[in-house]
Amino acid sequence: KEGTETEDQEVNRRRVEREVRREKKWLDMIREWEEDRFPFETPPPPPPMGVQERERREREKKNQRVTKPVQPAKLFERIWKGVPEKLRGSVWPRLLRVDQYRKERVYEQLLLRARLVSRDIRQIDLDINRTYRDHLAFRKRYDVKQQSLLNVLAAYSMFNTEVGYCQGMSQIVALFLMYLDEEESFWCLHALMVNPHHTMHGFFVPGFPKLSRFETHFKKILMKYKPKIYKHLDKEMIPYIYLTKWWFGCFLDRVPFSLTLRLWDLFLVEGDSVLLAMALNVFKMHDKRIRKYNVETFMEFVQSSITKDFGFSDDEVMYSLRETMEKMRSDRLLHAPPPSPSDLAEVPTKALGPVLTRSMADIRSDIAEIQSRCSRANSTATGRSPHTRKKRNSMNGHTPHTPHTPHTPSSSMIPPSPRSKEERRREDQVITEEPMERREGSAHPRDPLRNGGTTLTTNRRSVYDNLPPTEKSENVRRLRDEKTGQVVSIVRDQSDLDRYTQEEYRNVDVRVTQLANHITYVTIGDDDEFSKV
Amino acid sequence: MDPSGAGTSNDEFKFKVVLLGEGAVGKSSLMLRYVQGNFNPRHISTIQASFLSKQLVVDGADIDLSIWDTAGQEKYHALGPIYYRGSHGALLVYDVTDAKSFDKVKMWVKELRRALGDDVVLFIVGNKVDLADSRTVETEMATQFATSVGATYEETSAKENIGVENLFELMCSAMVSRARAGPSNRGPSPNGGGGGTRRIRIVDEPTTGRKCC
Repeated sequence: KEGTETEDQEVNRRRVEREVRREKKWLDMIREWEEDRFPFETPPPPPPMGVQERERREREKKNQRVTKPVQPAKLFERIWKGVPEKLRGSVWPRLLRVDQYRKERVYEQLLLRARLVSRDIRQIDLDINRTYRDHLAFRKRYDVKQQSLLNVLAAYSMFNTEVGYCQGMSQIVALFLMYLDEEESFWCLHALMVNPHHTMHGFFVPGFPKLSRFETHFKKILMKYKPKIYKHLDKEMIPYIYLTKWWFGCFLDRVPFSLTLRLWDLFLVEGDSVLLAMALNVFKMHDKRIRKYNVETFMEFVQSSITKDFGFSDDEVMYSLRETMEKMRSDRLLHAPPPSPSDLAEVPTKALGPVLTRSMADIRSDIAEIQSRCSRANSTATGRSPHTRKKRNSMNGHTPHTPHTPHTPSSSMIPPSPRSKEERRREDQVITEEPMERREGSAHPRDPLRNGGTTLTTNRRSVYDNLPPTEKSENVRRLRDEKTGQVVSIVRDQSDLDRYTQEEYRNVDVRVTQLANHITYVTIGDDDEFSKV
Repeated sequence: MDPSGAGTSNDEFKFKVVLLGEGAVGKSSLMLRYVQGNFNPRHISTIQASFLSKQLVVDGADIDLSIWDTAGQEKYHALGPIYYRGSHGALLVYDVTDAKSFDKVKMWVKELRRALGDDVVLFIVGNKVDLADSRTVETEMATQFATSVGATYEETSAKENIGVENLFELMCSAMVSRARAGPSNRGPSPNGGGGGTRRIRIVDEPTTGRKCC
């Protein structure tokens, strides 16, 4: 036994030595990159306003240089052995050419706004609860990494509004967050979405245009290189749906994690052709097995067997993948044909970060308002900060709701919930969701546009401070929060009076939901998404 | 009829069932509870449809049940037809503590009736009944709705393993009855005799431009 131990130690020692040698090589390469100013050095602190134009021109000049692939010569060779684990954090952003996309202070500003207005927070929050919970960093609910994940996804949903948040993105950001800080992860996500080598935007944008385009090309190459498998899949009526997950996350969760990292290293260098080639490579390497599978066994193979053990070492897989890619390249089949102009766009067509056009003064007053609302809620022991989420056409000048009887803290309908330190702390970073339209148009209580409503709507503050709960009771509906059982009063305002008769209003579907992190949703009428269908 | 099927050779059926419903209502958990008998509170969100199968004997029939699980986020709705095409049954799942998820069920009923007609066996499933305190969708309302659209209503808790086995057995039983009624009988009535017929009806929607399978 002693013998094997020393043998293991020997193997381990060699492995570590090899890794150290590789790290040195990569560090040299990174230096080479930096001398070339490729892809970027950390930009200087934000310039004074007048300099912006000059800086923009400079950046454009630099971008022109960078679009010619100025890559260190040995990168394409070394990438096949993987980026050394320690250096992924500094190499990945370079590979994604993040400097072409990064803008100073944008992330920070987006985040401030996302906390106020992101429409996707709820779905994001649901999914964070289900992203890499087995990984140490993401294990604990609302722990640092989970907060970062929420922040990046919420900010991005405000930045690239055509994609917003789509399931599958949380795994990608979680992967970035294992190596990078929040802001870097944000820009890496964006680079991955829009840079011409990856355009993941095309996968995640509604309608999934790139998925269709890649699927078509994949069937073509499968038919060419593995005709027997192609026919077999056809005969067994095995649908190509597994490609969604393979491609949206570049094999995250679909092959063992160590292999996923190697694939990501390559994916970041070579671009989306890796997705096609690896899909083909899976079939190539497991050719014989697959031709015996029916739909049950095939799906088990895809979603279980190869996620635990691919059946070959990572190096073997990469070697085979390299062969596959070279073959495809020489046959000019490595890249899928470009999207046709009649297809849905695979890159953003709308301005990025439209919410950034809102002035900070506006945002600040909103934040101040929310904070004071929180503290009022605290002082009256309602213990929650209510915010609204409402249907597009029912939200103009809407007075949303008020905690029930705010000036009677001992109200029997609301059990006073003592707030823990933890809760108070979290309140500082409360993330809320408000209808964007209302905020963009007539944003805060002092806005004269809001005076069109009844007295109840002109100033939200007055709703809390002055409304006796019994007054105009036909305009007030009390609802129980679905999660906490707390009672919330919904006050009907002018726009509701216009929309509904009193009878209808009493029956219209109004729901209050509270998420675990103290976000309250009030939904009035049917839901956007639902009515769309 | 001998449920074990011993001595006689049973009818054999191969059924495809699809789980549909809003995100995080418990679709995957129901499937995993039924097939693997466990519950993982840290289950990951579904992107690609996942798939599990199970063999069981119901009403003297050997059933090979394939269960397809789908992504719940609205944005993945477009892929729906690929998943439910050729299904014999659909489990439309909602969260009894989330009324919005029940609305989504109503929408799926419409879509499935339009795409698959009356042949498809629909079960509406109120999941998470263990969270009785925060319940917002009442049994009565859900039952009434189910009856009005020719569906069956069942309640489950994947977490506490309430009603899950029963749900799938009832579903299979309904599909067996419908299959035995034969392909010519396209009425909603699941009754009728006849031999073991295996039926796969594929309905192509002219409106969907997606290629499939």
